[in-house]
Amino acid sequence: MSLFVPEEEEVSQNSNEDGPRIVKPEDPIVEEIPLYLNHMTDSEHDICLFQYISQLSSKPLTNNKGIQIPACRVKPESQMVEIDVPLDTARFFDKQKSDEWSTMTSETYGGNLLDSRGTYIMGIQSNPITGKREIVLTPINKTAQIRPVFHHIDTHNEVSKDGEVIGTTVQEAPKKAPAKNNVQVVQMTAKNIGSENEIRYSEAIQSFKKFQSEDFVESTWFDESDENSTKLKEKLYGDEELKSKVLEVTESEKDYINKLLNDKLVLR
Amino acid sequence: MGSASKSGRDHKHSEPDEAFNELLKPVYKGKELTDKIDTVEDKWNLLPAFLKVKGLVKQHLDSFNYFVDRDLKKIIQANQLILSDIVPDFYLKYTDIRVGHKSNASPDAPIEVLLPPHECRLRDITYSAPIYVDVEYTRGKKIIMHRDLEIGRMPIMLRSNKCILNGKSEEVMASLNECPLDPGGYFIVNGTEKVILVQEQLSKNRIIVESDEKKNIVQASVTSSTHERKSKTYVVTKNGKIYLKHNSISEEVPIVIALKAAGIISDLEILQLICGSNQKYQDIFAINFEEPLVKHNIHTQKEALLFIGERVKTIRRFGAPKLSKLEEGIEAVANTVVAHITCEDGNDLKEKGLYLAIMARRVVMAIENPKMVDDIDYVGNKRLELAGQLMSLLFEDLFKKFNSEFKMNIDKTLKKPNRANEFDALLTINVYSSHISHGLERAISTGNWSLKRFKMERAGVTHVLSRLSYISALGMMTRISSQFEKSRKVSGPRALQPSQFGMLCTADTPEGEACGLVKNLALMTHITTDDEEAPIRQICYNLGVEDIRFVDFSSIHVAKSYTVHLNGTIIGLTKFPGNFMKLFRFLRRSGKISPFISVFANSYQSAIHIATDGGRICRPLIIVENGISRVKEEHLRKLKLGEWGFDDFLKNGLVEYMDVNEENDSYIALYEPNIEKTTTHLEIEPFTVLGAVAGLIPYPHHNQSPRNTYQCAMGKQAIGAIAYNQFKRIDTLLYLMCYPQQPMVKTKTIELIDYDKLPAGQNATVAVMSYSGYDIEDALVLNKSSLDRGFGRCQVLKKHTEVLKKYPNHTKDIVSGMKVDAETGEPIWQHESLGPDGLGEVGLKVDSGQVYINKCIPVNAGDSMLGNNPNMPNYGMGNHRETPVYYRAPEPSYIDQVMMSTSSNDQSLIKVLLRQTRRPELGDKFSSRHGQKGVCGIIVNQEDLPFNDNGISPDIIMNPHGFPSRMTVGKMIELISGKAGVLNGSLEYGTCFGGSKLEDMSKILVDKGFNYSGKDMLYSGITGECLQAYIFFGPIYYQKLKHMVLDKMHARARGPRAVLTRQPTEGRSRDGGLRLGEMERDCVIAYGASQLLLERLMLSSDAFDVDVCNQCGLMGFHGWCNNCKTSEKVIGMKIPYAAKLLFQELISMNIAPKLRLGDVF
Repeated sequence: MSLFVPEEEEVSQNSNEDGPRIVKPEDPIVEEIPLYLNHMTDSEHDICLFQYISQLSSKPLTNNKGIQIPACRVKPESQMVEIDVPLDTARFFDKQKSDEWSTMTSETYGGNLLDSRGTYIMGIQSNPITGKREIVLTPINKTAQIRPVFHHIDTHNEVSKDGEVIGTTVQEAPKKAPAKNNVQVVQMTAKNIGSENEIRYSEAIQSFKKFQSEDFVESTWFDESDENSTKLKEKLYGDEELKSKVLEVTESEKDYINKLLNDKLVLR
Repeated sequence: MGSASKSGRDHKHSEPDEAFNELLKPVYKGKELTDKIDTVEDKWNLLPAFLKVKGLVKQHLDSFNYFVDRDLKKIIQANQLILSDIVPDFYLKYTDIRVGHKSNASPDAPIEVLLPPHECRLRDITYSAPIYVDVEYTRGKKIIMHRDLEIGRMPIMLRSNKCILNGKSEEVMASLNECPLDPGGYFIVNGTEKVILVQEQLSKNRIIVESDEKKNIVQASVTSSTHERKSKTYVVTKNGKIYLKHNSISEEVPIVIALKAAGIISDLEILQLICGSNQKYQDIFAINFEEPLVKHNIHTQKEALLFIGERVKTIRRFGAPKLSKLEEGIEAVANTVVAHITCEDGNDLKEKGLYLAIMARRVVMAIENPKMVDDIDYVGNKRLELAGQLMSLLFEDLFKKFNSEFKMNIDKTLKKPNRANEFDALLTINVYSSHISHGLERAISTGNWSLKRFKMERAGVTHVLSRLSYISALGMMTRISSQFEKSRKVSGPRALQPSQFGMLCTADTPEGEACGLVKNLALMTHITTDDEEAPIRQICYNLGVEDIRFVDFSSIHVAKSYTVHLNGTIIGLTKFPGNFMKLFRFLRRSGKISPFISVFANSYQSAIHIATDGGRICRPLIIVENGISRVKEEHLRKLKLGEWGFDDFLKNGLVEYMDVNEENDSYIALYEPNIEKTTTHLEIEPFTVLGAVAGLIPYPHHNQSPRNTYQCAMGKQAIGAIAYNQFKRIDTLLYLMCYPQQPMVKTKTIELIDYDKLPAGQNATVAVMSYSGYDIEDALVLNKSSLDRGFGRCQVLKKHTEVLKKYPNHTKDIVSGMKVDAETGEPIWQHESLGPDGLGEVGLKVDSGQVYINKCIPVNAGDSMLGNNPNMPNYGMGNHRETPVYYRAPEPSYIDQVMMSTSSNDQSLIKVLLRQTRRPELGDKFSSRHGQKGVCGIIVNQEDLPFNDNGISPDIIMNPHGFPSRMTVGKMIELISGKAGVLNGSLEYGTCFGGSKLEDMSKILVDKGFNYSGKDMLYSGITGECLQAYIFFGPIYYQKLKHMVLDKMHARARGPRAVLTRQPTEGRSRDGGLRLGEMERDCVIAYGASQLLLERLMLSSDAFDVDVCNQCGLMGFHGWCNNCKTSEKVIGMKIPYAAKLLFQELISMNIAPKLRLGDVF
């Protein structure tokens, strides 16, 4: 038995970025595919890629698989997302444990949004007119690895320990609406930070405090089948205007290498 | 890219060095440019080209240049702001820092040093340049920019780019009294030349896996080192389970809890990260999941963080905020454990988790296969710490201290409620500028490196540059000292490592306790300086490496996929390791990234390692592609014509630098004919495995290896020429050879390091035969006429320094004139060599007991200045007492130089240099260049020595018993080559793995009418008869070593005694007695010579008459017992004074030793 999700073949993307061509013995061109670059990110959209680390690719979180996402939240400052996914209470479900944790109906997935420069969504499709394959690349701004988070256990611990909760560590509510008392605690923390030794906290603690003081913003989840999703999908595959501009190599190999090398100072 | 191209540029601007230009002239050593170029033979020309850009001490200079040009700026940036606790608006910000230049200075303006280096040496001053900073600060509401604020002075390394000698021609050097052959790389602090020795350390920020098979422990450790802190993190096994261990966490944390705390929560992911799909690894690791769950009941990240937070040992610094347990946990994981990886986002600690997981994986691998551990003695796991890095640590510490003191002062001033005028921070800054200068000076002059922030105390970092000979100075600059304790009996760190090849000299290490711990650099090496990581990381991503942050953990340990590590930290994943490395190397070879960045693959770990860090040793190699060397005839021709330098070879991808790790991953051919299809590189020149000192040995490849090691130690003791400015120097002790010669049998190294210009030895004609019986135990027979002609003659120069002090009461030391005999008007004998100024006259002889500085000190120096007015009539000469400096030595000296100057603290400084010329005498030590030392056993008149057909008699006769056990065949070949060279009128070469061939030399000998084997027929000087055997006869280069009888001979009949014990003093310098030690005493006892024993141990030592009272047993006085108040039973006797002292000391401790006396007869 393998522990692993089978590998997906992504070899072709890699060979694109070969860069300088040094001694390449036999490498004949098999097929030429036109490339298009979709500049969606420059406009109003922030395209984020969610990697469901523990989710099987055969079971996507879509309506047609019978999964409806009840809630989805973001902390825009701390760059944190959380998604509630309903639990299959029919199979492999421990009712007793669930009751202990104040009746679970959904589990929570979460992750940090990290800047992902140089990553693209690649859409391969065949041109409806010519029937030839074409590739549309769309740059991604952020990537998040989505993993299960166990807020219910932490909340359960706090409730059971009751008075033993230390300092300002009241956890943000794991469930839908943030409770009122949370707001209060948050404000107190904020005051503390503002008044005294703000500089002295290490960056990790600062960001943690910021994360705690920030509220989740509820956002809307559109299913794959939703109208909005289809629209966006179409956009991702590019419109007519985009299709008129095939990406072409304008630079010599040498310039390209230099660009690759000099690019990084700006990036840093 | 900035860093990479910059270092490339630095090389181009290296100074035009006349010494090397000779090698590049059209005709060199009889070879012309039109000669056929043989790539096999002539590729060695890359070596002089390398040394032209790199030089022998370039590692020190590069490191110092990097420190002053770049590291300083980084330090300033990291400690940029000074804020006040009192006034929140106040700030002071450092914007730039420079050493030796003002901001408006043109690039080629001279560096602002006070005095040229030689003057600093003479006047006991520090050779330093000002450190200027630009600051921006607030004064009231205004923001003020201030440029060129001096915050202290930086000692300058000679020949660095901040030294005035940098790039100067030989003429300018001469005008500054500097030797153009002096390599630089040292500091002058208070007049003494100080070297910061290269320190060897285990590499920082790398995982090292060790195992103790007996105790069944495997551990992976990493020493994290950042600017702020240094700490060590372990992942260890204990009862088969794996734990995280760190000093600041009170107990070991199960690795699974640690990983959960870092945000890798699911057991599946942990198993994927650590074990991959390897069934064995999974079985080994599975046990670790039990404890966190069952014992500690930990499921979530928060629970794990709390678990760690509760176990953190908090050392709260003053003013630091109090943290909750959860925050403590976050702080520990984010910043304390594996501190060199900083997690700036406290909510995302996965990078840390990943690193810990890799450590755990290495442990699991080592459990499964005990061979998967690291070799800590492997040179690739070592880093060398150079002057620049050590200075940078020290400077940052001092700068931080400077800033905090400055800040405290600002706070103090700002606290005052009503200040009269507006507060200007800069007014007080000058007070602290001496802290930096003095801190730097003190550390370099004492060698005590104490760094507050690392709580580090290191002693013996600096050493006085040995100026015994040119080679000893050079040897010191290439020396590497290890941090290992010398006393420990370990063989591993001392052993010769195969990975040392070409990087560290295989022969040059001391004998005895430091054997193998002190090493020397090989001839063609470079030590890297730090390079920027970020651009390299980006290049890796651009070359198709998948960012590790977005990689699914399940795909990390999949077959064929390689992890990419940058300076030990995982940054990504690639499925095409071969291709990636090829591309990366291509970029390096085409000069797009720094040539000193190394990349190599470790197939056991399925990892590609890229290193950009400083302190790696590397060396250049010729690149071989498809079985063909990339260096071709046309390139070598360009090199010969001077069109190309070494850097052009580098830039054009013909030659590249390899560090030890990458070298280990390549297939290097020694010679061009050995190249195979899979060969990746070709050696430039095999003799570069040796260093500068071992390079002096002719034919070392024919010697037994310890002999070469012995020569390396002795070559540094040989008396010779020191530098071109040797007669201008005033050193504490200086040995000079009167007529040094360059060796008949040279090596290429000798030419490259200019030993032929500053040699230490003479070509002696040696006869290998027995003569006179005074040649046993390697003793040599010397020819008296040779000594008359100047063989082995040397000069010894000794310095005496005297300071004329000034006292608080306005009196001061003076030098008074000579005393004159009243009758004759001549100066008295003691003052014969004085001049009218009271100082010795240059050129005059001083005998023992004569005065050469007639110093007088004031009688009333301690008086207060009120009672003693210098204007009072009796003030003057009468108030001074003579304290002359006498010359005391068995042999007279001559006054060589007298210098009077003022030192840095404004007191008069007198330096007198005394000279002795010494010819060899019985007992003086000589050695050849093959570790064959011997003392002079007899000096024989030339007429009594054997001679050959031409009437030549030997300078030295060496006993043939020196050869069989020593197996120094190189010495024999040296003799033959030397003899051939003399007859042929040529200088021959004994270069390692090459040199003049024995067959050719024999051919010359035969052609000139000599025996092919170097043996001659000699006639006895005494009888005139032909000797019965042919004698091995010819020139061998001999060194005179610094150990001379005159400095060691010592005898005493009577003399000084120690005050406390009344026993004779110890040691030659105190005119001490010769000890009859324990073993000698045992012999005398065994022999039964009791009277001799009594005489040696008591009568001649500390006999003392005591009066013992036989009634009470205690000692009395003057025939009177003070205890019994009687003189009745008091008996006089002799005991050692030490015994009497012991009794008294015991009495003082309330123990009464009582003597009971009885009659013997």
